[in-house]
Amino acid sequence: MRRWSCIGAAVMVLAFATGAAAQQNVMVLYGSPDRDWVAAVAGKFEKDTGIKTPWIRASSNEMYAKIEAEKANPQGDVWFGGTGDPHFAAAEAGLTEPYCSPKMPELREFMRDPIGGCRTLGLYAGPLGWAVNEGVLKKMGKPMPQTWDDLAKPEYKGLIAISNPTTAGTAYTALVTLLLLKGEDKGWEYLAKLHKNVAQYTKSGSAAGQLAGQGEVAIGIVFLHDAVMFAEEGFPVKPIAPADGTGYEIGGLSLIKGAPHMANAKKFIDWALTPDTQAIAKDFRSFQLQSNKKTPLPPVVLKHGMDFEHVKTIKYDFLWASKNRERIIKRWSEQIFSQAR
Amino acid sequence: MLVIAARNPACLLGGLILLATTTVVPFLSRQGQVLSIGRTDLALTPLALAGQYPGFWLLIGLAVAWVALGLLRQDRPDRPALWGGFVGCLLVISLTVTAGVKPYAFGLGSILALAICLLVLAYGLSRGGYIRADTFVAASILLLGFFVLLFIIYPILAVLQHSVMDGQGAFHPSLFLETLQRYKSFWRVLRNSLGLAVFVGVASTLIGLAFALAATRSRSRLTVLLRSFSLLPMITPPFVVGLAIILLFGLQGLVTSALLGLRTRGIFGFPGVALAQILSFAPVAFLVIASVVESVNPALEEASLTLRAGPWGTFWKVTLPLLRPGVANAFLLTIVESLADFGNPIILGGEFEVLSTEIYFAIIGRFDKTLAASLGIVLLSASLGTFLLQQYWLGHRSYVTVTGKPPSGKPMPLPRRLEIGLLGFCAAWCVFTLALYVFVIYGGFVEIWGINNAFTLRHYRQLARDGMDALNTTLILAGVSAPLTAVVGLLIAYLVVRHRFPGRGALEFTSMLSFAVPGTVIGIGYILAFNQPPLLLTGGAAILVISFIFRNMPVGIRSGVAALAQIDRALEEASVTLRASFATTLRRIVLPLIRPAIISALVFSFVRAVTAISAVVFLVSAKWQLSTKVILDQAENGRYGLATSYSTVLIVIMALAIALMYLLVGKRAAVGGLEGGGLA
Repeated sequence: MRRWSCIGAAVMVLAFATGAAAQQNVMVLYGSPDRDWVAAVAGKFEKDTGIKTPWIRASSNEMYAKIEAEKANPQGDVWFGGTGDPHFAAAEAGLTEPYCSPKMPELREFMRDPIGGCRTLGLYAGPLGWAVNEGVLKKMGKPMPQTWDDLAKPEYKGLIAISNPTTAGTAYTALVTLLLLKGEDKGWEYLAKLHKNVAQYTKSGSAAGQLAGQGEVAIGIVFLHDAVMFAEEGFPVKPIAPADGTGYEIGGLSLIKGAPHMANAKKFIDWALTPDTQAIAKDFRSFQLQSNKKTPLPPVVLKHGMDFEHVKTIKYDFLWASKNRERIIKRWSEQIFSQAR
Repeated sequence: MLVIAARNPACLLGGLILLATTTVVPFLSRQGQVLSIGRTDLALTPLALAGQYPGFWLLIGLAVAWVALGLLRQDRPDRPALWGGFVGCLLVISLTVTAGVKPYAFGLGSILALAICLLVLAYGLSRGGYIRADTFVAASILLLGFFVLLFIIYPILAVLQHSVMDGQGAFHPSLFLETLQRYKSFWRVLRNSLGLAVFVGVASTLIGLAFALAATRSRSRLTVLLRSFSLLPMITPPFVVGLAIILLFGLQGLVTSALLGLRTRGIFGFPGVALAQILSFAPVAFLVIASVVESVNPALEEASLTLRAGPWGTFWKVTLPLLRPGVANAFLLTIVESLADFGNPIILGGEFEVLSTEIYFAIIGRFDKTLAASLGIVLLSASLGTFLLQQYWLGHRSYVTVTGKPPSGKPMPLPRRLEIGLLGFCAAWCVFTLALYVFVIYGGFVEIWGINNAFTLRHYRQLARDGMDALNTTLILAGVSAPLTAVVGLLIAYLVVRHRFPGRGALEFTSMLSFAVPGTVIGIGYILAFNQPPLLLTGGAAILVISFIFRNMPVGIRSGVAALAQIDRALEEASVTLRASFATTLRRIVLPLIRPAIISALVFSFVRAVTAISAVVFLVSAKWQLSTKVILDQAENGRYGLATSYSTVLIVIMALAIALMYLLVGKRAAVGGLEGGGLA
């Protein structure tokens, strides 16, 4: 009996000792931007470092739900890209871990550490705007809108698409932008007026641009890099930046708490912030401004004049946006969304 | 030799195997290493674990006791099997739970040990007369009951517990009602969901019935076409039907704008969702009803005609009432499907909110698990109510028409006018469906659907380059899960219809649950339930296959129940009286008689596995990518060409696979015209 338990214990110890060594050279990537881009990033990391990089793509809200559900036994290592808000929410909920990458000084200042404490790093940024289908506007005899106030005018009734802020980061960025631009009280009044003009709320952020491209609506409220993407894909839309200023998103790059391959995960984050890696985004029709100062802006963005130099942006408070998310979305669902149009 | 000499062979055999299992097979393994035997670094046997967890000595002791009892004479050999099996099951489960801590999760040994204990327990139950059936049936009941608890009830509870649990994990029964009161649009959403489900259920069942009658009873040559077209919407990946509907009936739609000159967005909301759901669910109704129409014995109708009832009278008074089980089952399925459907309302719903989308928004948008769980309970109650209603309507009447007496003559043709009407309707529906699909296929060959119609092959080129991995994975997983789903579903149907045992109704009902829950809820539930030791399944293919099996088996159950309800029990009894074993009876009598049900179960589960999306979003792991996910991702970014070309490839592959299934399984069905080659 004693002997058996001795052998048993020895086996256990052996098992634990070799167990750690048996861990393979792997890095599991959870990505939220364009699927092809995520696939290419995983492939490139594997080629550059020899670390095997299996990957999954899900929208950033879905990814948040997945990481949340898996928190007892995390399966992913790094959460790459997707609108910042869910990244920030995950940091607030303790689902991700701070990591101050040595590459941080190389990043553009406003993306370096968007909510402080290295809780998520900026991967890319892009201003909010509109994808406008001029053909539809012309057919209806409506002028091109210039400012956010134009959008709320009754003449655009039934001509606007925007995503639903309960599922899409794009629409939440729009809510916060308008609340910051106009102040809370005026902001909610404005949102109520805008709601009257909305023809359709979509599930995913970029789908509003798609509806404009199909001619189902005239104006889709989307990120400008998505508007550029649709234009480059051949949809008859024109990216337009509101003249009275607009908010922007910062795509997050977060280390998942309890990542099974922590060392490789950190290696990946450092690698993902290099200009060499970031430059491939544009090949996959992802036209955001990448966070490394040395990564050039894709020429098509300049062609459309949709870069941060030419677009008037407001001071967007990411910490405020993530701390007030629950309240704002609840109020929007109950007071705005439920109203008849 | 020892076994033959034994007084209690079940105990002896069970004891010996259990003993071997406990010493050799690893009870616990590291994640994903269930099959590595003999690698002590990856897996631990009970002997190795007994030092740390003395409970394992009890398990070894049980094995020894069984061996000893197996050799002794005893009055009631079922007693040690019964009690030993019962204790053994509890022991294995509790040992797996206590010893299965990170990094070790359940292993092959714990599965085997549990299976052995269940088998011995089944022997005890059967021999002791607690279940009036042989050991095989008793074991099937126990095993399926265990699976249903583990893979349906447990994950659903893992999610739904949040409706009465606050953030700190404290129990608040009142939280459920408070949450629903807080949620202002509750009544509107409930009304939308129920109204839609009833409408879609009635319409789909009627269309399914029309198709089933036209396809099986008409003398027309059109029937072959009917069969294939009616299945088309089913083998369509999600999103595609919705998109086609928008492009046909939307603001710029081909029909609404170009043909009718309307500028309307009316398709968004109830009409669009209902149309898309009817398109997708009518085929399900068709499959279920068709398998029943085919097994109606023509002798009854002939008798009616002989007794001078007219064709109409026979149709109304004999044929239709005999179809009742099929119609009721189809209606139940389509209502439940409509309630749980997520893909169509999310694309076409506009502001038409239904329970399934609201649950999704609660989890994905507001991160509010309490609201999601509370709405989930409401949704489940609605499905439960439908189930009870169906039971009430079917009642305890007999629908037996296959009695073993040779069927005399051919099935009665439909009354002439009815036949023309049905054929006309079905043809029109087919043309409509076909128009949608021509659109979808066309979309894969043009630059941008509806915007730039220049011909191109670039989508297919990109597909050939990037999409093949996901395609292979999808087909392998669907191919593995389809036969398993059919087996599990039909076995449950058989047990439920043919045997009386405690918990029969509960088994039938709970096996429907996973179908009635939106995929999002099941997906989250599976992660919550199976992402930590001892039950560590996430990250592999197994969790996908399991979720497919338990999510899609209800169609197998429903068509199995409907088909078996028509077959006289005397046929099996005759076989058993003639000393055929249970397995022989099953193989030679039951299975051939329910062949149409087998086909519909196989086809449906394969197709559903290929086109599944909402549950899968959470369960896909980095190694196992699925096609529908790729389609959705590409469509989200406006790459319709890629999405539709991928869908087209999937549709073609599924059509081929279904044709193959008919060929393999449906030899006899050729009589009923089921295979007809129509799917080629």
